[in-house]
Amino acid sequence: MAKTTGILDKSLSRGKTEINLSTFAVLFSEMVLYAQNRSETVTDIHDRIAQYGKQVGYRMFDIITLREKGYKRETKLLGMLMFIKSTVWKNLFGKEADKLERLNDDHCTYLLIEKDPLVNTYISVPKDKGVLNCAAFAAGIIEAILESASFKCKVTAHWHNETAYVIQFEESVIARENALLDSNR
Amino acid sequence: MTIYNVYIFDREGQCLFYDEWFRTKQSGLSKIQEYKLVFGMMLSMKSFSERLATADSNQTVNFYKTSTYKMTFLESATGIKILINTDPNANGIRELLHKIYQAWTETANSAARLISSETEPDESFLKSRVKQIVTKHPCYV
Amino acid sequence: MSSKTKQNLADSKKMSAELFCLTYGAMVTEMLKDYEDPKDVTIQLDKMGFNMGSRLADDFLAKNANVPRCVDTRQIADVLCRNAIPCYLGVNATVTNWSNGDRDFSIILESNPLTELVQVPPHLISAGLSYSQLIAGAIRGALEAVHFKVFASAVPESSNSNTEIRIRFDQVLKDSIPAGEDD
Repeated sequence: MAKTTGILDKSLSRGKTEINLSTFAVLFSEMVLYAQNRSETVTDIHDRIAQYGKQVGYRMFDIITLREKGYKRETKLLGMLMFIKSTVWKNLFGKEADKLERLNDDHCTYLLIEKDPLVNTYISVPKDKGVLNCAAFAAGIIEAILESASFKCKVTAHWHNETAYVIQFEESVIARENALLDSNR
Repeated sequence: MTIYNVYIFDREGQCLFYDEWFRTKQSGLSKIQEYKLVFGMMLSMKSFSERLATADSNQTVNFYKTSTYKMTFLESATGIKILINTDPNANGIRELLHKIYQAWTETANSAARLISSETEPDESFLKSRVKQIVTKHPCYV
Repeated sequence: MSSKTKQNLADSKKMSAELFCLTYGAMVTEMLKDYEDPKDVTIQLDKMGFNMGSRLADDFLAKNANVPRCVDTRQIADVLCRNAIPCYLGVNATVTNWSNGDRDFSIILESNPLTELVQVPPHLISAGLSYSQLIAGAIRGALEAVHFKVFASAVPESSNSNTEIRIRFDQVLKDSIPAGEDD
C-alpha cells in the first residue's frame, strides 16, 4: 500500500506566510454572524467568540512554543505574560502588545493593553462593538495559552479608546508563584 | 469648473448614498422620487442605446451632456452604479468615479464593519471620504 | 500585466496566515459540535464562502481597475488563477481539466491556506465534510456578483494531492429591473 503523507510528515512552517487581511476580515465576519445566529444574548455571542479564540489559543501555544522556545516552558508568571505580550502577539498580529500592568489594589489581576488592535490598524472607523467582537476572540486566545501553561485564569476584554485584556489569575496560581519566588531567594 | 452632486446605487436601484456640493437649484422632486427617476433614466439610456448599437458588443454608456452640465456614469461589474454631475467641460471624471467606488467598497467592506457585522455602512464616514476625494479633484472649485 | 498585479498585491494589507488557518479550524470544529451531520457543516461552509466571495468581488474590482470585463469562462478562469486567488489566498493556482465545451473546468491550488496546519480526520471526510468547500463557495459568490452563475465544489481531498475546485458554468445572469420600470 502506498504510504500517504500526512501533515505530521511535513516540517512545521516558519510561520512567515501571510494572507490578505480582507480575506480574514470576511471570514471573521461570517464567524461572528454564525455566532450571532446561534446565540440568544450579546453575552452568548461573546462567549461563543471567546470559545473560538480558545480553540485557536491551544493550537497556537503548541506551535509557538515549539518554534520559538524549543520545548522549554515558561514557569514564571511574569515571564509567561511577557512571552504573550511579545512573542505570541508578534506571531498573531505582527507586532507586540503595547503595555503590561498589574492592578494596584489586586495582586491577582493584570492588564494587557493594546492601543490599535489588528482590526484598527487597517480600518478607520473604530466602533466599540466591532472592537469588542475581535477583542473577545483575542481574550479567548490569551486565556487558552495561559491555561495550557498551567496558569489558570479568566480573561475578559474591555474597551475605552484602547483595548484592555483583564487577566484575572486564580488565587492558587499567585500563591504558587509567590512560593516559587520565595524558594529562589 | 464645478462638481455638483453624486449618487451611488446598488444592483436593485436602491440609492445607497447621495451628496451634493455646489447644487444651487434643486429638481423640485422629493429625494426618493429624484433617485428613482435618475436610476430609471440611466437604465433606459442603457437599454435603448444597446438596441441602437451598430455592433453586438459589450458597450457602456459613459455620460450625457447638456449645455450646462454633464452626468457621468460608472457601473462596476458587480452592478454598483455611480453617477456624478459636473460642469460640462470637466475632465478626469472617470478616474474620480473610480476613486469614489474604491471609497465605497472600503467603507462597505471595511474590516471594522465586517468584524462588528453591522449591516449599515457608516454613512458619515463615507460622506467625509467622498468629500475628501471630490474636493481634491482639480475640477472642484 | 504581471508587474501591475504584483503592485496590487503589495497594496493590500497582510496578516498571519497561521492565525487565518487556525481561526477557520476553530470555527469548523465548533460547527461540527453544533451540527449532527458533517454534511450540514459542508452546506454551511459553502454559504459562508458565498457571502465572503460576493463581498470580495467589489474589493477586487475596486483595487484592479485594469482587469478586463470577462465575457467567457476561459477569461474567468484566467482572472481567478492569475489575479483573484493569488491576491486573496496568497497561493498560486492553475486551471485544468476543461470539458463539456468549456463549461466545466478545475482550479488546482498549489497549496491550501485553510489546511496548512490541519489534517481532516478521514471519518469526517467520508461522512461528508468537505473542509475546503469555503473556497468553492467564495468562487461561486464572487462570480455571481459579476453576473456569472456557476456551481462550484471542492473535490474530496486525498491527503497527498493538491486542492481541486471543480467549477461548472450555468448561465449569465441579467440585472433585475426594479418593479414598475418596464424595459
